Amino acid sequence: MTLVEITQDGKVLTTELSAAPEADLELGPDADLDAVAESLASAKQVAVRFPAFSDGRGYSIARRLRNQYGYRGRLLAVGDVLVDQVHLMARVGFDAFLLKEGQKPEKAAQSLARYQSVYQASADGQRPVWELRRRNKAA
Amino acid sequence: MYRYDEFDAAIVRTRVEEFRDQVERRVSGELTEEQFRPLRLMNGVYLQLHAYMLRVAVPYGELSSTQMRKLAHIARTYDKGYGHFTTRQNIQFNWPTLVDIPKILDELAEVEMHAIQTSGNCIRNVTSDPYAGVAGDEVDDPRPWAEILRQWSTFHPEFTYLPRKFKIAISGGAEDRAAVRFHDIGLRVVRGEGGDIGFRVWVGGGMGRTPRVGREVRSFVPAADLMSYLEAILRVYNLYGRRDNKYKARIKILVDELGLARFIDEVEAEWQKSRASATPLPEEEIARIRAYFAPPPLASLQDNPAELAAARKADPAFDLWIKTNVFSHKVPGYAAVTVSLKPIGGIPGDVTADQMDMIADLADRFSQGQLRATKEQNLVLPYVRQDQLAALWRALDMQNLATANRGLVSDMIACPGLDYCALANARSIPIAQEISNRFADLRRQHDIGSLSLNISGCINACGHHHVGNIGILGVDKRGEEAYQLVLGGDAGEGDAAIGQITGPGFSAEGIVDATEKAVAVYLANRRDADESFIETYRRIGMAPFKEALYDAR
Repeated sequence: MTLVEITQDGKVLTTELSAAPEADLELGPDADLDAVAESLASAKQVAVRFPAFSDGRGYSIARRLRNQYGYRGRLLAVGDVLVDQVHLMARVGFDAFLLKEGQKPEKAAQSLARYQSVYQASADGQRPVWELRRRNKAA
Repeated sequence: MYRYDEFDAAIVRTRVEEFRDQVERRVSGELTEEQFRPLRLMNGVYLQLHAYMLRVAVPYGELSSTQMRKLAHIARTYDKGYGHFTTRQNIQFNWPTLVDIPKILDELAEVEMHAIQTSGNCIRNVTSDPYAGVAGDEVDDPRPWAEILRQWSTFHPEFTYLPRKFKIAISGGAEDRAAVRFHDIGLRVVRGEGGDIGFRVWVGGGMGRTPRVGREVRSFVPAADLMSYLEAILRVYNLYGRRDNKYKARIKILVDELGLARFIDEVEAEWQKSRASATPLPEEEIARIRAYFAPPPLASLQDNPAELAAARKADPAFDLWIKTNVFSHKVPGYAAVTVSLKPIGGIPGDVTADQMDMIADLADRFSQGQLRATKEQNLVLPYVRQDQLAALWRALDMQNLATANRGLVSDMIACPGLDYCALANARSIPIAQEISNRFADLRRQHDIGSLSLNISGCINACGHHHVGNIGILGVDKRGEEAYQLVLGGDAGEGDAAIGQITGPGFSAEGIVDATEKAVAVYLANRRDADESFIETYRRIGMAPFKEALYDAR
């Protein structure tokens, strides 16, 4: 299986693994975050499972983990993780992706690099266009 | 109107490249149809009964003549020479091939257009009032806010795989002309106690098989908090909306199941927790976007010029058209003109490539190069000088685009129905055409007066039958097409109502007679010519209609 990671300095790394990485905590799409808040505080690696790529609850869970629970460790997407969604996952705070069998890691890297500009503030810290415009004008 | 800057242009271009890659991977088999389906839908590509269909976004209905010419070119080059304007102010092409679609998207990007989020379980193209910036009753022009919503919702990373589609409408007038209470989120621009701009918000309106009138969740959200508040609503929906049954997945069902009070509590709690991390809406950005919607340079004129009065007197057909197809403008001496896409016996919303080119030319000649698409599937020329109305009318009439029927019985909304759609149970277009022919006499239509007639070919209600004063719903009755009649619907916020079914359904021929009977009941019961169909219906109720429709059978 293939693990794609975004490093601290924004590089994309691909690793072939023989077994899924161990997570301190694995959350399903209906996870109650308040109930696991304590274990989150000490966790270094949290996995969020996508039972189907079309089930978008994991995006909101990630956003809450990052922006409301202050989770700063590695956030790993597992399950039906496809290359066409990884850039969205990265924006809501995922920094590691265990790709579904058969997905091409070079396509994941391409997806992550594709959009230079975004309209929304999210959990990845990317400055939205609305702020860049203001800065451009000031410059 | 809004123009792309380098960021907007790059984002749209990048999407075209992304989609081109996805189409290639679908063709090569790397992507399964199941994996490709949501990707193509989010680019407006449907697989219909006979072919692919491409739905192009016309954000909040605003179009330039240049864009219209491009649409004509696309219709001619990649389709069968026509396009179809929809109830969500978009345009559909019914016959493109999949491999041509990236090329079409390239062509659209050249004129700052796209097909982003015109389908899929994401935030759809935002709709608004076609008379924005024109109507005299505006609290504020809704278009800058609609453009802000367009940008914010474009590729929203968190809300691209929602339980189901999500539609937002915004209106800015004292009268709601965007059916805000029939959307997942409806917004009206209002002023707060200190006179500051904000929004009144409704959630969970919609049509489909479970029609609901939107429920108010907040009477005032300050403008600066618009994004954070909407994100709170969407996060609650994304996490708790049902995903086990697509027919129960819209936000209206979540509001039903939680109850309004608890739904509001959830949203408020989420809002307090997430307000600080949501997308900020800078004042400068509001001002930057607003500047694009400044009115064009217009002449200083008087209302009702002598030329107009003389032309009305000289030609009764022109006079009839002025009565229905002209909307009064806040700028003296100007008018907003409805170009009817409902010729008698025609297909509602269809326009040929030649007509599109002609309309673009007329927009340049008479309306500052600007156009609007309406949810009633017509077009509007928003800046016409009143002393040029007669010349415009003659030009439109030559193209069969001057039917004097806006708001009348033949100004029908109809979905594509079984002629195109894979979901339909019955045909819609031939029924619309039959009814239009039955009421062909325009004088008779003017006598009947204001009446909305909406036709859907299945329970999904794309033809808005629930909110037609008269609604027609096509159903499958043991393998035969049958039609139910619905009365009393109203799309406007103030009087928002879902129509009630009259009783047993009718055959394809029978529904045309039934429609005529319902109109006859109204005519026999109205107090005077000023009492509209819906007013009479509200006063006398369903009983007299039922009696006329069923007792004699």
